[in-house]
Amino acid sequence: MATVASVDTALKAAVLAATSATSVVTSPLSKRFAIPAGSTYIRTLAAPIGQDCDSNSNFVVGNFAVTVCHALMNAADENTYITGDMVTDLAALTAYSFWRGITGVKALIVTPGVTLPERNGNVIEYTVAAQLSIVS
Amino acid sequence: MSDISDIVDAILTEVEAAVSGVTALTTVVHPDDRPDEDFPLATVLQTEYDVEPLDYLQENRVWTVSVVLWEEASKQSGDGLGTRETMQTKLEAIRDKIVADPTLGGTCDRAMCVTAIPESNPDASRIAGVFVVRAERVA
Repeated sequence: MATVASVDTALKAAVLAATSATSVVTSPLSKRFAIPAGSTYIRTLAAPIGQDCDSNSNFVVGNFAVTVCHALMNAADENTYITGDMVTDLAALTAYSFWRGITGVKALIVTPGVTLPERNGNVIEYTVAAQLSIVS
Repeated sequence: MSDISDIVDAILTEVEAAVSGVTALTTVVHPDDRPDEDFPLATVLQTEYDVEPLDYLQENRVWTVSVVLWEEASKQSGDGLGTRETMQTKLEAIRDKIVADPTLGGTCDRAMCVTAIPESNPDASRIAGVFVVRAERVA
């Protein structure tokens, strides 16, 4: 039986496999970690929000978010990332098949949404979030 | 070279490009100790370094460099020497050079001329102009 935690673990592995990200930060909300120039890190946030059901059984439903943090090679390198790796990573993370293919996921309840990228110093970050039901 | 010496050198290069015939020195000197042929004369008055913390353990490093520009004061109208107006023109030319090269030749992410003050005294033999450059770099 899958859990929110097990799906979160599978989500991390799936993001590393599908994107340019190379590392997972264990603290989902903290921004107190350093990212080497040119590297992309991710952090995920997973939380159960209720249940769904069909005629046979109940399913846990959870919100899952992936925040992608990329440190620019230099201050003037913004467009290289925004028109390059960010585009391909976003394409991967917004594909319905990506979320449906995560181990333990039964269905995609709310399709993935993206926050506008923000820049803090030399780090660009954005979040892709979706709502999933989990195999019981 | 240290960060600050690279930035100071870059600022003085902009001064030399903006002010014809200027002598630019990285040291603080009293204008009375310089021969007349050294004018216009630019010397670094003060440097400061500050850090603003950013997310992801980044630092916005800020260098503030104050430079004083001296020129010989006009004795009578039409003698071609300095007035508050000619000093203001020189300070604006320096500002425009920095606007055109905001990374100061790649020594920082962004630089701007934040203050430019022409000073004069009716009895003075020199006209002074102080300008302050703020240079920032994220690290």
